[in-house]
Amino acid sequence: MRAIVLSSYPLVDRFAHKERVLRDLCDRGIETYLLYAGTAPADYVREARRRRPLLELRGRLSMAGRSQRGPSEGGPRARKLAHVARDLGIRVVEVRALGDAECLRTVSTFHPDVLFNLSALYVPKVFLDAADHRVVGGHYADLPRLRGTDTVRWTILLDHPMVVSHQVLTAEFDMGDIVRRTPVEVRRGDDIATIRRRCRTAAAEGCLAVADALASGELLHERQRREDGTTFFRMGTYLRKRVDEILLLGRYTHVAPGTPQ
Amino acid sequence: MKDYHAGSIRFLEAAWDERRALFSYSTSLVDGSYVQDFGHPATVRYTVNSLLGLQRAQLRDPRADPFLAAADSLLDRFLSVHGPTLPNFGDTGLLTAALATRGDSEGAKAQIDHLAELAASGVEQHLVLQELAWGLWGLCAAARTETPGAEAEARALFATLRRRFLDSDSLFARHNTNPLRRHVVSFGATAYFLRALHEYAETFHDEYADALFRHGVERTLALQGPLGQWPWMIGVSSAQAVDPYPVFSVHQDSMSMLFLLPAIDRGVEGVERAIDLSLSWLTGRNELGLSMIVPEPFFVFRSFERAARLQKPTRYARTVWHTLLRTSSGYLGPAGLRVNRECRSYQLGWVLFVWSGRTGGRVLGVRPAT
Repeated sequence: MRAIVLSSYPLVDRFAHKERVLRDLCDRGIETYLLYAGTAPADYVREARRRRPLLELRGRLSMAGRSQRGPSEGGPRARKLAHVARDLGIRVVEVRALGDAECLRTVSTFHPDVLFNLSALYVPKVFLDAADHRVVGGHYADLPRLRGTDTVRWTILLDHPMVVSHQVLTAEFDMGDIVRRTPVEVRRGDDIATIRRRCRTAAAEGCLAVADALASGELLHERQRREDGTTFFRMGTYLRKRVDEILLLGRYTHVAPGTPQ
Repeated sequence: MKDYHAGSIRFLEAAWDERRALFSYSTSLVDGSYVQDFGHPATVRYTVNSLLGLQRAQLRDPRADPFLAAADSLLDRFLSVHGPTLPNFGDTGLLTAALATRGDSEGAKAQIDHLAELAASGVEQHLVLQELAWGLWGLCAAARTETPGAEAEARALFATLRRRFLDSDSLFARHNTNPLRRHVVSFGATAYFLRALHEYAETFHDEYADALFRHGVERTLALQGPLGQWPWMIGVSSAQAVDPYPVFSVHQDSMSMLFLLPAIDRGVEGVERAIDLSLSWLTGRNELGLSMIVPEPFFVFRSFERAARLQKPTRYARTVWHTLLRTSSGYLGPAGLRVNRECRSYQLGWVLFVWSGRTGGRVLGVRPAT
């Protein structure tokens, strides 16, 4: 079996959940490539601007800030993913964009059985075509109900259970077949950064479960209907504060039973 | 409630001109009699608005009186004189809602095509929030009756409102996209925007629009004055009242209800109290201790406004000042205010629209004061 892991911004790519995906794919004997996009300096600047308003940029020049790094709960800081890949004997390919001819050629000649998108990048249709529509991505919310962006916060605001959904990516945003749902535990006292970290861990577990199901021929596809969900957009400051309040005051009702106040 | 409702119908009956097929723009009381003025381009807009209110009252009140019973024929008369299409995008939106509501899918389809033509002609670039909100409202009404093309147009228009008008940080929407005007929005446009969000959320079961509606209402409630006044001008990013005056009675008795009554149905906190305050301002618990309602012949004064000269320049200066400083402008005592004693037909149209048929739950609780 062959797999490609898509990632982005290699200079700051230090995430424990990605490391886990690479290691566990190797452990399963799956031939794996690590494919990087978003490698030019301008890509880093664009991404930094997208993530944080310029005024907040100070102290956040590294996109993978302290709260985003490392394993899911404590432990040592994660290593650069490209270094991990080289240690594991995984070939690392860097491209400027996922639509580049070199990138498409790499994908189509490798003939992967599955591609896991851990890049948080928009995957263009040409890439999906080259990959024979086998790109699977983890979405940090319960599909089909919550599509779009900022879905961890929207899940809290709407008081919906926290779930990571894996879908087969399609050209239409968040409308792919759902292949797995992984519940995410939320505990009293968690903040958004902590919940996001758990979502990343759940996303990694989901990718590995999808690989296993694919290997055993047991991967089930659940088709989405547009009317079964809503697309959400970036949440502004007022609602972000409301979400922080909900967590702080313990008003999110889908917390794990027995977690301390 | 009955008096206010019945009074609104009688007022509109008197304001209707069969030959012009219009409700008046403005009405004055002279020696106890109505004096109607039809000489303003917005008369057409007020008429569509009032027709929508009459239609709602007729549909919701089975004991309809003769004037209400004629609501359909008034709409036909309006279309025969002014139709089949109107030049304004927002007016066309409300007309679409009226036609879709009465089950005239052919008529509604023609209006949707007209809206699409107006949008394609580039006029959409110059529209203000109120017009886009009314357009979306009409398209939602048509989508509920499965009028062809309505859903696609509604989704496209919602995307435009979200991308170009909504300030996602404050949850207020901009009056327009002009760099000099985009920082301020009126209460009226905000009421229509919230209503459009409600219509969109209900029609397409859209939870994002629903969240914008609920929390947009929450933010708007925070603007209500100590006596229940709804301020006129609002800073979009500061979410502060940059100029509360004039305080309009139409905001107090009906336009605020376009979003408050649906918010009650959704269980948004604080709405009941806001409605009580809003209505009590109208009946005399206000800065001047004056009831805005004349019982016979039925009449509602339009507003309290600043008793100052150079209204416009000082308003602009005040608005710019508070917008830049992100502060709010306060309410005045009786010495600083005067009453605008005209009445506009669309106010009573909205009264009929929002309050008709509300049995159980919240109903209009104001009575005319003597």
